[in-house]
Amino acid sequence: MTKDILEINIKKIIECSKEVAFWNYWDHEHLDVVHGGYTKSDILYDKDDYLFRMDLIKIPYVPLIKFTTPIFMVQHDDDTLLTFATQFGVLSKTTITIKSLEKTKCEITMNYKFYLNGWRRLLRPLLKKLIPIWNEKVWREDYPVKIRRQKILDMNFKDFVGLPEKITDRINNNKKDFKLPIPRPKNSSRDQHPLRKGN
Amino acid sequence: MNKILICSINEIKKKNYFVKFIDEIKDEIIVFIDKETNELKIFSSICPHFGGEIFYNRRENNLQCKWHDWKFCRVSGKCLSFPIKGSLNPYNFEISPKDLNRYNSKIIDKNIFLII
Repeated sequence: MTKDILEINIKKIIECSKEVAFWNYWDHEHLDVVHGGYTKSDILYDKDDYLFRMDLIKIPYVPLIKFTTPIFMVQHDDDTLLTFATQFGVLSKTTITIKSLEKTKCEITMNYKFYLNGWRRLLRPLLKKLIPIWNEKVWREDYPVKIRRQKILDMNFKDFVGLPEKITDRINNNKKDFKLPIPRPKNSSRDQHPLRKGN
Repeated sequence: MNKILICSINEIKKKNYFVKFIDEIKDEIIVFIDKETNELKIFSSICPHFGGEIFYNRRENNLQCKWHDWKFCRVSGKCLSFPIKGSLNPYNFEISPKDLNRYNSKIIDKNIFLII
């Protein structure tokens, strides 16, 4: 059974808090704006710490080939985020573990597991090559977002409001909470799918 | 009245806009020349939504956020994507995006100064 699993581990360190790193994973509205690999992303259902989403994704180096992938995401505990998805009929589980190193520094461990049973075993060499490339691309695109988010929070930025009026109030080195769900405006681009919650 | 050097006119002409963090006002600003009026404008370049960087989209002649694609009026700084107070669905959350802060500027010897 375990021989059917392809496992890939990637570890990164970044100069932002654990809360900012998790925020980035749960901010779904940036996906098709910041990332070149996402064409569309629709949230069908989300509540508190879990979500079901459909993404239209481009394959690295073959942008003409796009595929829809259903994604289930759950904040398993304070340190762990789990994502289950299927790509070309291959079931995958991604475990994101974030460890706080300093107030504005954390370590992100990304563990990918692909269930390659039957004919899917043929995909092993391809996935083994593609996943680190995909991961690196997404990491590079998200990197400035996380760094900037940390910087503006340290300037006492409030979501949907902006910076404080008074310049002297534009500093806040306290720990910022990470609270799910990340709020979205009414009629957000993520809430347009005909099968979305409430329809 | 304080004057702070931001950039030269040529720097804006190179890529249509110029973004710089100004320590004195603890804000990041965007300087651009309005395609329609040819007028120089300076706004805060920190999106009031989640803090993304604002850029000047010359083709559409508006200000836009790099993170979530929210659009802002290049004249008033008002948010065009979500212009009115409204409730955030479905979380009982109020949304009232503020306008981008606007700053005064002066051009002296082809250099742009921020007036604070």
